[in-house]
Amino acid sequence: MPRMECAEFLDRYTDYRDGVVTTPRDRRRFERHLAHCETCRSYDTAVRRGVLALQGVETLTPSERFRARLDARLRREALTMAGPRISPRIGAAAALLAAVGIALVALQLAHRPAPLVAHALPPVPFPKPVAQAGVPFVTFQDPRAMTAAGNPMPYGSALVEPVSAHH
Amino acid sequence: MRAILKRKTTPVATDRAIEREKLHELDDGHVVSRHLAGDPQAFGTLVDRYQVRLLNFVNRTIGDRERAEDLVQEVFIRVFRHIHRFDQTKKFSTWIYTIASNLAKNELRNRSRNPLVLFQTIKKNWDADHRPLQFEDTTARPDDLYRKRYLKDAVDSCVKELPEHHRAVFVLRELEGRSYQEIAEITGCNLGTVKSRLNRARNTFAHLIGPQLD
Repeated sequence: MPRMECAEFLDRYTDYRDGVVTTPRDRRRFERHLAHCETCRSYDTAVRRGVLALQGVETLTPSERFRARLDARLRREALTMAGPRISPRIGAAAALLAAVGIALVALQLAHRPAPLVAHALPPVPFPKPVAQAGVPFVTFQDPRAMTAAGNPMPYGSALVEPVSAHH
Repeated sequence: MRAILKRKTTPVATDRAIEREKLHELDDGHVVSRHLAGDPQAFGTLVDRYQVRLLNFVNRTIGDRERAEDLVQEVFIRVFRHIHRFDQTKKFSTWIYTIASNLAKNELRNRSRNPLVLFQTIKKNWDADHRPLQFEDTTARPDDLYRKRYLKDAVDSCVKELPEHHRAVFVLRELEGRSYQEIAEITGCNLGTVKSRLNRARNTFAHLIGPQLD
């Protein structure tokens, strides 16, 4: 088995620290390296002592209000999860009211007078529209009409009658 | 009258205490079953069991005590809401830590979007630095007190300096004693990632704390 180098030690340090290195031979390689290499030894010491110091740091405890606040929230949550509760009295009253409503509607339907029947009237002949077959008069505005002398029509309008209208 | 009341109430209180004691002796899975079966005290037992551990875990992850309390409350509310969906073949502790870890992650993500929160946290730490020494332990020698206090602050700040992903893995392993498999489930990573993050976290931690231990 080749001698362990620092790179391998650092690379597999997590296995060694967490006890994943199970074979005695492998463990010996780690231990031998630690015994000879001061850099890796100080690295290992730093991790161990640092973690010990970290574990020794006082544990936080929840504040006094924490539990009361949580219990209140849990109670509200339980109510929400259970859904809105209707008391049996209110439920019975609502059911009775609904039954009375249905009965009234049924009664109303039973006594409803028959609808009046309207007699059919005789059909009325509708006069057919007659189209006017003449040529229409066309009205337009002639821009020259404003300046033209002797314009019989005021405000620039001219009434032009097509020739075809006289035939 | 008082005597009668006392005689009437004491056995009930004792029964409750005994019931509670019994619940404390059960493992998490059985306590969960009792809660689902309608035992009103069962959920309280779970809270008793996990409130301190979760508070310390979340506080170490986000570095803000007050916010950590809020998040732990939220963890219990979520557990209460979804406990019927918990797979009872799995470990309850892994499930609750997963919820806590996710909430802590969200908190850190929100903080990175809102730097004001980070500033408030820094300010809180400044206040903690000015706490007088006599409130800690008056029986120890002043130099011991100073050393203890110094070391505590040093390891705390070293953990805070670890990158977020490394910190969670490091805390779960070194302080909570979780197995690689549990850490993988809690953080949502595979085993290889857990091991490599843990190795890097230890490496960084050693380099940060090493010079301060001498």
